[in-house]
Amino acid sequence: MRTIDLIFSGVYLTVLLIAFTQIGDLREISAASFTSAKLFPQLVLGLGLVMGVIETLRTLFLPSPADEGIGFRQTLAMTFRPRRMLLLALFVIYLAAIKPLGFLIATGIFCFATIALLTPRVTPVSLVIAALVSVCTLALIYQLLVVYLQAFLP
Amino acid sequence: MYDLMLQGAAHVFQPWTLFAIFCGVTGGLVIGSIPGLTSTMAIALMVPLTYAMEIEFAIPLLMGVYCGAISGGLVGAILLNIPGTPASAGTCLDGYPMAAKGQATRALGLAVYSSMIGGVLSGLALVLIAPTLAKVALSFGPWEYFALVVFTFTCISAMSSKGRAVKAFMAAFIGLALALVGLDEASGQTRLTFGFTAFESGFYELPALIGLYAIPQLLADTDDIGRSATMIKINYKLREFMGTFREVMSRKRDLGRSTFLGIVIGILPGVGPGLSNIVAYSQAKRASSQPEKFGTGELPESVMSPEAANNASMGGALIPMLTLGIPGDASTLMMLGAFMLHGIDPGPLLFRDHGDIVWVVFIAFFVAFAFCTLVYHFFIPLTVKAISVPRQYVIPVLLILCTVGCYALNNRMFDVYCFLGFGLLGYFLHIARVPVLPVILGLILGPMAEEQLSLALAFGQGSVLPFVTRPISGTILLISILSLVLPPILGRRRRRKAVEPA
Repeated sequence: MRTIDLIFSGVYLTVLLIAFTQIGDLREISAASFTSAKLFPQLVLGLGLVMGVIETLRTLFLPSPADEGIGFRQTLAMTFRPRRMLLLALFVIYLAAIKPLGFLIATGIFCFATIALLTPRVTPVSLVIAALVSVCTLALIYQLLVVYLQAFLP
Repeated sequence: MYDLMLQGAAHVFQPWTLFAIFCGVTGGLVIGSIPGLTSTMAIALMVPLTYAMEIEFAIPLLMGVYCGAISGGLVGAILLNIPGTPASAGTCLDGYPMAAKGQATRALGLAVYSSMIGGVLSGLALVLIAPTLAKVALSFGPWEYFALVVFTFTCISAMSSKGRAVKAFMAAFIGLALALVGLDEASGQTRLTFGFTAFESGFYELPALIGLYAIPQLLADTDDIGRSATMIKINYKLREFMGTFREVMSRKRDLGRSTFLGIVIGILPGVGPGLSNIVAYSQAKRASSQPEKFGTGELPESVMSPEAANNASMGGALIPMLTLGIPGDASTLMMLGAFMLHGIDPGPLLFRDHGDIVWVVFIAFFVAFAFCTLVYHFFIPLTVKAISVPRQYVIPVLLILCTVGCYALNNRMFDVYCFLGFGLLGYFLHIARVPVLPVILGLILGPMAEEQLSLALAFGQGSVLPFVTRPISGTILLISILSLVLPPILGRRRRRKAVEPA
């Protein structure tokens, strides 16, 4: 966890530092005002940076809590587990496909493909169930949102 | 007050509203009983769908989901030894051993009845405390509100596990920094938009909330696909189930203590049922004359205490949410989002300007618990089936519902992309073991903190002294500092005592 903690602190400090420099470009509301356009943002980002530095020092110089004895490789393996990445990839493709394909078609394909690909052993029965779940989901969404709530679909 | 109560009752006791609460409870129970799907997720799914509904209809529905989902966790905890929600983690410790001894119905009965009693008592606390606190809160100025926000964040880090307090603070600052994005109304300047016009309106809270909670959870849930947990078979008999009510009522002291603990922990900002059930369990063990029997599934109080406490936390968590606009836990944070979605800002003014809505919440809370009890009597086999639904069918459906819900808020794809973006951020935080709740609290409370700080400085002519000289804000800030400083000092002293030879 130590390496992950350091990566997290590094990303955190970089992002907050960039934000801090951006906030410096803000103009003041007026010279006579008691409040400042920069005060709260700089307070938040400044204190955030201090916390980041404390956490980095803590990670570097203090022992990790006993329950965090997971190694970097294990964490990476857990992060990029094939099923997790498959679901994420399918979801990103689904969002990208909504506009060109239309919501209902994209949703139907996404639902069916996700169930079929996530199922441990694909059999004809599991494919039929995947198709049924997809159709029922579409029917539920259409009935609930379009017919009942009269909301717009993507 | 009675007029408002009657108005609230008139809203709730409509056939369709009652039906909505019933559906909410049933849906919440089903989602809550599936391990890995929390009450927060259940409410997150429902909140955007209520956008087109009247608030008098939407709030009871969400209360039903809230009560059902928190209560639903007990089924998985008792029959699978996997808590359906973190709120039922303590129930596993004795509920599962009791069920394994062939007393599954007894374990479920004890858990259900103590849940309901804890919930109803916390509802009474809500009705009694909330209006009084709201009256007190009416006298709060910007100094007090700012101090409360500070207290909320210190509370979260104080409740974090050892070595994680700084991470909890960092998470809060991430949320506060995200809240800065967009147009600053006071100065008319855009902040942290990096030239993207889409960011000028800032991040809408709900896609952020749903993304941060749902995507990391659903990604992690894919690990359970194909895994079959051994579920204890249950020969459900209604008479045997109802017979446990007497056993529950014979343990009034345990019920009272756990309920009290649940309410108090629920009121504390940022912590809720997830903590209260563990604390109640350990307190019940400490108070028991047979502590050695805890963990064996013999004592009824060992199942009752965590369940009474987690449901009692629900009423407790609603108190700061309704009166101060500060959520007690992640689920009430979603409820706060629901109020904001319908154009109502919870806080003391809610009691003055929308008293009938407050009573809708109160009455719907009790009705939801009544339905919950009823549903449990007759639908235990249904919830048992819900636990065993293969995860590969649930995950895509939930992702689709989240997507549709996020889009329906403003009819723009930008919110859906924000949902994905926040989901990826949540996943990164999940991997780095950084709590997500402070991020969301920062995002929601950030604008309030900024506004109150600006007002306080303007009223105080630039002086920060009123923060400490005003009695209430000074006291809140003092408690905040103590909550930060005391736990490490006490912990060190306790460790030193343990090391010293007797």
